[in-house]
Amino acid sequence: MPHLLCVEDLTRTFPGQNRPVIEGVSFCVEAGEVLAVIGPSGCGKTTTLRTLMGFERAERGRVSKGDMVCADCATGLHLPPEKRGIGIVFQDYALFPHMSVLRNVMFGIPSRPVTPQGEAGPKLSAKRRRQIAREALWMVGLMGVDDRAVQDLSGGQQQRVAIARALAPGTKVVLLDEPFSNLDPDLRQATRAEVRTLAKRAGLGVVLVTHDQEEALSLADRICVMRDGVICQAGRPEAVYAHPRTAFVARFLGQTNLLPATASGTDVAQTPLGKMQLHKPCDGEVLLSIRPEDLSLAPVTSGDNAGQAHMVGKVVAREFKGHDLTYRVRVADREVAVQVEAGAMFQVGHAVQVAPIRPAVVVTNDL
Amino acid sequence: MASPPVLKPRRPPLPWYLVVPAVMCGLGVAGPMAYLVVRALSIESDELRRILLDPRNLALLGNTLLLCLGVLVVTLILALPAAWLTARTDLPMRRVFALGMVLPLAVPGYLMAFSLLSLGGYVGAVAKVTGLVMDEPIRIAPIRGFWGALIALSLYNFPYMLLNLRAAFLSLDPTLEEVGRSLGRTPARVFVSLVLPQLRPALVAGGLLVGLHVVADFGVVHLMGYHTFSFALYERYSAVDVPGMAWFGLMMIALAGAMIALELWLLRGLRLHRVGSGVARGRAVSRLGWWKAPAVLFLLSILCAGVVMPTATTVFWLFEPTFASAGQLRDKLTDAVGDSVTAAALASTVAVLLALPVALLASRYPSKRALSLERLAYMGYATPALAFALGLLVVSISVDRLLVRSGETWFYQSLAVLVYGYALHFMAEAVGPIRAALFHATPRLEEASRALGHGFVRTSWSVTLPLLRPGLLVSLALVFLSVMKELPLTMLLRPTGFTNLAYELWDRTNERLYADAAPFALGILVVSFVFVGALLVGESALERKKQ
Repeated sequence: MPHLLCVEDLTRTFPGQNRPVIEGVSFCVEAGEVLAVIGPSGCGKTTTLRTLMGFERAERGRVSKGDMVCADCATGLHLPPEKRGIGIVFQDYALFPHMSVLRNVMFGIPSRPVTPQGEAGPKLSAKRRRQIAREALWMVGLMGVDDRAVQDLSGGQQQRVAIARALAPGTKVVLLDEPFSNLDPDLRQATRAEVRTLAKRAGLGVVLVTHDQEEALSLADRICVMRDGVICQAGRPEAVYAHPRTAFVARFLGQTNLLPATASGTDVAQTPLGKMQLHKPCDGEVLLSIRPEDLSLAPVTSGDNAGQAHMVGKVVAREFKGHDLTYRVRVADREVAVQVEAGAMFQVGHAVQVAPIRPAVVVTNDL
Repeated sequence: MASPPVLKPRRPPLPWYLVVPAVMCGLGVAGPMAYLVVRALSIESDELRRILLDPRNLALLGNTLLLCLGVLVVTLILALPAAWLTARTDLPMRRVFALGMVLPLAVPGYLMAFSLLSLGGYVGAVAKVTGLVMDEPIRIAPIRGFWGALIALSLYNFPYMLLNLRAAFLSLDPTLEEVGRSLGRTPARVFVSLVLPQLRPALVAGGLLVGLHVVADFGVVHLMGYHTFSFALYERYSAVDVPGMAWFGLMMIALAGAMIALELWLLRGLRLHRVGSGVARGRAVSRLGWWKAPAVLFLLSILCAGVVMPTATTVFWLFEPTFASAGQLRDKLTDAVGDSVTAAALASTVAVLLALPVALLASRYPSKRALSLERLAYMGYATPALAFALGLLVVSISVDRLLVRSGETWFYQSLAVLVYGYALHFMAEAVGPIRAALFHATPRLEEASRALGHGFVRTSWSVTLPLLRPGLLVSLALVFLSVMKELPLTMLLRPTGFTNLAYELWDRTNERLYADAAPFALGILVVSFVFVGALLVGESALERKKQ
């Protein structure tokens, strides 16, 4: 069974620039899967979507949907956007201001749909098309707004109309370009959950582009971290979070402490915080990433400092966040963040011992 | 990636199907002008000396500049307080006045001149009206010459200055003035040190428009008998002196060019956008208190002079005995309306078709190259109409000589050349509304339609065109109205037998047959007020829709 949507080696350079905006971008999406492409502003996320849609023309690479090839630079094939059957929800929704809600959703429903065999199917009556549009609106939880002007809807409702409009033609692949950034936090939470449910229930393949790491981690089945037009790491959110391959990925997904270390072929390395367990053996000067929640604090027991495995530091700041606490501790001329569950009470100025509770991850230094 | 087009310098190649029409527009204006230069240079050197070293030229230049300066000063004195009153105060019926101040635009300069001329003198309107009730009628001196031209042109051009200044007042950030006050400056000093400098772009833009109009004006200076370049050009035209005409045309173009250069120099390196984050607060309102009555009186008197006076004189002369018979006038009026409607319909369609690619280029491909192409569209507008008409006239005669057996004409005095002249001259008026409409019809909407399975044709038909429709209609209306009132192009390029309201009005006013001119003046006023009224109503409806 072919993938629902596959992008291979997609590369695009804008005229007049010598560096590609995206280079060698590859990923696949399955039915019922949410894939998040995440990266900082200007990293090429939106260009990836636009190239995938066919709004931009790639100079290298291939886009296929099921067994239909949408674009293949090797053969010079470039289907126009309207032939690809890929739905897209823009950041600003791009609802047609001169049409009612129902008209907007009906817009993409063909009057003579094409069968999977590529032949023209039976003609759809206007009544039937209206019905399909209403079903799409019902699917996103919007009822009784058919004849309203799109300007009269709230931001959340507008977004649902945009999603319904993208899905109404029977599209199985939907691209979402920062779709939640214009919603207030409460609504954002709820809409995210709905999109996920919708994808699972209708067997949609969803590609979500975002710069919000929390959104990507909580919503996606798989994430691709993108930087300067290149995907640096892809995988399940938990896996990428726990084992970032580079310092950039570690920093971009959540908080982390980056420490220089010296290893000698074993899975233990010498760091400014003392000896530390690594997730795999390595050799020489390396860079380690250890998450604040993978470190622990303990009071300094008076008297024996000699032979102590862990360094003593001083608390310089504390940040109470409800269910947990983040301390900033000064150890050996550097500051590390340690996140502990609320309860362990140290004050600013206290001397503490910092100890890792999980192995550190060796990352490539790409900062 | 909040807004990708801003973050990344993206430079897609400009599509040829947009570039070619835009360049053609530029060439369409530049071509005849270049030919004018060729013709001007191709004369004997002693004749050249005769034309160039004529001591009268300096006097003409002085007269033209004096009139420009005078009109600028008068429009500024009227427009600055009027703009402030209608934008930043608690003036009663502020919106009504804001709309009313635009109405003088509906009264072309030559109509204002007709009205002023017909007031004074032994058989003037004032003498006739007062003669009805008094034994000894009041006779005022005829208003003509410099002062006549100054008044007529100032009243007609005042709205251009006002619109620019009012928009600037409305967009000023009132917080800046509050900061000025908090730093211990009096309101007057705040106005001089903070407000005026921020009005500079609007002042310069309004000033340029007014200046270009004055240099290009033909109807007013000719009727008032005030000698400027365009007056001299028409004199040469009557004497069929082609090289002489060409040289005066070039002098007018040089003067217009100098004004544009001056504008660019005055606006160099200007940066007035908001610094820092935050949204500009709403309108600041100054309380007028006891000044309300004088303020209203001031605005009312502008309206009286700019709208009521020309309308009243027109209506007055309608009831005076005419030289030609009523039947003759009726026939002429029917001809003039029919001809000008035909020409205006053709020209506005062509102008909008030309403006569409230019507006698309400027709004969809905002690069330096695209913007310089957009400038080309304004070339036809900035070139003084009389000089442009002359260029077209000379070109059409030469082309006819090349292509056609002698005695026959294809281009000279053809409707095609007249429509071409109208369309290229007024195209700039069509670009603005289309651009504004394109601003709402973002490319994102077209892409959404493409993503939903519709091709380019279907997308253009059901998404782009409906969104552009209001803009296209406004563009059509603006050009239509301008063509209906146009004088200098009509005068030089009109086919035999072709006439329009402006030409008939000018011709009869020139003969001092005011009663005979009145029906044509009334025709212009009716057409203008209907159009301006419709545009204002439509615009305020759009505003309301946006809110």
